[in-house]
Amino acid sequence: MGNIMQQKSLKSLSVRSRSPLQRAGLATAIGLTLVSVCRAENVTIPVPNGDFETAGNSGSIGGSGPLGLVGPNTSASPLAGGPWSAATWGILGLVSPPVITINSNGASDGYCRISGLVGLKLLNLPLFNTHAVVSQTLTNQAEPFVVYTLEADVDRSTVLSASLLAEDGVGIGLTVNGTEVASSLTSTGNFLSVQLLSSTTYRITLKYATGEVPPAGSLGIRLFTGEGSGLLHTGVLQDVKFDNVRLTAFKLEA
Amino acid sequence: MFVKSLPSRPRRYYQRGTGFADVFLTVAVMSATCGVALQQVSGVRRGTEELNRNEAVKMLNNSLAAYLDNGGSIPAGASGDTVLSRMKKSAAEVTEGTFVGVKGPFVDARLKTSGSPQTNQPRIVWDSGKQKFAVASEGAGWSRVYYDDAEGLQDHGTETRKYLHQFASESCWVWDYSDAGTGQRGPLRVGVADPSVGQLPLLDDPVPLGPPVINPSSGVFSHHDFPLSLTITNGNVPNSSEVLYQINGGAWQVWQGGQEPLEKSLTTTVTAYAQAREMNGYTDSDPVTETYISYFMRGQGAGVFMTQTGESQFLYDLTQNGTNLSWGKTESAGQSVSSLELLPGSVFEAGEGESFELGKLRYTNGVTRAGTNAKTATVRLDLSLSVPATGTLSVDLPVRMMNTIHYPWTAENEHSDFLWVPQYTSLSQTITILDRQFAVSILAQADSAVVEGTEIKVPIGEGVSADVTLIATVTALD
Repeated sequence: MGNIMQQKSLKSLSVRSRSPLQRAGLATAIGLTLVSVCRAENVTIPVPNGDFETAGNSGSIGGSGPLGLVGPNTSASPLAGGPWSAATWGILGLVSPPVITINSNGASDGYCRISGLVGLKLLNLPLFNTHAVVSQTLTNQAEPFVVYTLEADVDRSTVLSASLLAEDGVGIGLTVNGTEVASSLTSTGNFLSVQLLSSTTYRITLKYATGEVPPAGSLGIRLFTGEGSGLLHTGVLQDVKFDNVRLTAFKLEA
Repeated sequence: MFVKSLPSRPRRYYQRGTGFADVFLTVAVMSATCGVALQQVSGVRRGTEELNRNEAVKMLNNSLAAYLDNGGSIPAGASGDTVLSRMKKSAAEVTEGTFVGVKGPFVDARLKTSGSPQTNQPRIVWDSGKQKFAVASEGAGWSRVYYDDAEGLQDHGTETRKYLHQFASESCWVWDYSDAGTGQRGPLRVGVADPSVGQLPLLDDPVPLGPPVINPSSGVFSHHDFPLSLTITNGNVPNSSEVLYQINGGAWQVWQGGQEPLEKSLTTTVTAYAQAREMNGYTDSDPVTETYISYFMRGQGAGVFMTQTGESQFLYDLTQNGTNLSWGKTESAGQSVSSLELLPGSVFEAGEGESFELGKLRYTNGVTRAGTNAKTATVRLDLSLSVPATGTLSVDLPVRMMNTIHYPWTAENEHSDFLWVPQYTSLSQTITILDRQFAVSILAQADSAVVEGTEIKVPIGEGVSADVTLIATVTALD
C-alpha cells in the first residue's frame, strides 16, 4: 500500500501526466518564484585579490628587528604588488609589532595572516594590544539607498566563541573615503552576523546601509586585529588568518 | 332694468329725450360709482410705504382695467414704465367738456418703482401679450413698488382719452345723437346664448371670477422634493371659466386638470387666472402667482496634480491630463511604479447640510528603486458647477507620501507605504445661491486611516491600492 501511494505521488510530479490547467498553474508558480527571486538583486563588487591567491601579491611586514630586538612599527602601501596595504604597531617599543603575511599558497587556499599578537595587562586589567591593519580602497563609490555586505572568513587557530572573537579586537570594517563607516566590533542586530564554519573558523558578515545622501568617496575594506577595548585574552603570540573577502551591494526597494 | 322702466313714461316726454332728473341722476350715479371705484382700484394703504409684490400687481391690473374702461389706451410695444406713466395722467382739458368717465389719474401719483432685480429674483413685469402686470422671475421689471411723496408732487401731464360715450357738444341734451357708439338707449352688450354653457341669471354687470388656487403654495423646498406636483383648482361655477396658467413666464396654457410635474430649479413661478368663457356673464379673475424656491447646487468634482517633490533621485511621470502622478525607477522584473491618481466624483446635487463625493485619491504601492520616489504633491481640486451658475471653484490639497524602504531583513507586511492627507479642507470662495451664501468643506476619509494632527495617515500595503474619499459638505453661512 505504501509503495502504491509512493508511486502515485511520484506520478503526480510527472509533467506529462498533468492536465493543461495543472501545467498552467505550475508554470505560473514557477514564474512567480522566478520573479520573486529576480526582485532581490545582490550585485557583487569586485574585491581584487579578495581570496589572497594572486601570486604577485605575496609578501610580509612587521615582526622582530635584527638579532631578535624589538622591531619598529611598519607600514606598506601597497604590500608587495598590492592591492592590499598593511600597517603594524608594537607596544611602546617594548613589544615588536605583529607580522602581516599575505601568502598565495600556490594560488590555492591563499590567506592573510597576522601573527605575533600580544596583549598586556596591568593588575589584571587590559592595557595594550599589538595592532595590525590590512586594507584596500576600491574604485566603487558609495551610492544612496544601498545595503553593502562585507564578508570575510576569520581563523583564530583556536576554538573561540563569536563574542570572544570580538573581544579580542579582531574584525573587519567598511570604509568610505578612508573613514570607517561600519565595523564588526560595533555593529549589531541585522547589520552583523558571525557564523561558525569549522571549529576555529568563523565567517563574519557585516552590513552597512546608506541613506538618501551617502558619504562621498570610494568604498574601502579593513581587516584588523588589536582594536577595540578588549584584550587578547588567550595570551601572547596568537595568529589570525583572514580569507575570502567579498563585498556585495543590494539596491534597496521602496 | 333701467331701460325697461323708461317706456312707461308719456310718449311726448320720451320723444324729447331724457329729462333733467334723468340726467342729474345719471351723472350723480356715475360720479359716485367712479369715485368709489377709484378708491377701490387704488387700494392703497397709505400708512405703508412699500407694497407687497402680489398686492401691487393686483392693484396695478385693477387700475389698468379701470383706466382702459375710461378711455385710456396702451400703445403697442409699451413698457411697464409707460403703462404706469399713462395711468398717472389726467384727461386733457379739451375733452373735459364732453368726456364721460374718470378724468383724473388711475393710480396714486406717489407710486414709484425701482428696477433691475437680481437674476432669478421675483419681479413685477409688464406682459405686453396679455396686457397685464404679473410676477415673474426673469425679464425687465421692477423689484419693488413704493410710495414717494416727492413723486406725488410731480406734474404727470394729461392725455386725450376717447370714450364710447361723450356728453353733448352740439345738442342741448345730454348726448349728441350723431355720436359714434350707442347714442340710443339700450343695452350695450347683448348676450348670446350658448347651449353648452350653464344658464345664468341675467345680471346687470358681469360677475368677476374668483382666482384659481395653486397648490403647493409659495415657499422654500428641498431639491429632493422636485419634481413638485402642481395642481390648480378652479372654484368658480362649473363651465363658467377655464384656468390658464404659465410657468416661469412661459406660454399660457389651459389647465387640463390632474397634476403636472414642476422640474427642479432654483426658482419656479406659476401664475394662473380664471378666464371667463362668456364675457357677458363673467370677467376674468385676478391672476394668482406662487413661487417655489430651492437652494441647491449641481456640479462635478475633478482636479489635477500641480506640484510634486521627491527624493534625491526623484523620477516621476504625470499622465492622464495631470490626474495620474506615478513615480519611481524600476530596474528588474517584479518591480512596478507607485502612483497617486485622482478619480473624479459623479455629477452631484446638494443642498444645505448635504454631502457629496468630490472625488477619490487612489494610492498604488509599487516596488521601486529606493531614492526615486515622491515625497509630496499638491492636488488642485476643482468643483465645476452648473447650478447656481456655471463656474469652477478650486482648492489646493497638499499631500505627503512615505515610500517605505524594503531592507533585506524586513518582512513583506512591513513594506506598507503611507499617505497623509489633510483631514479638513475648505474652499476659500463662497457660493451664492439666490440670496444666500454657502460654503463647501472637504473631509478626507479612508479605511484603516488614523488621525495625526490635522492629517489622516493611510497605510497602503505592498503591491495594493488604497482610496482616500474626499467628501464635500455644503454649509449655509447665514
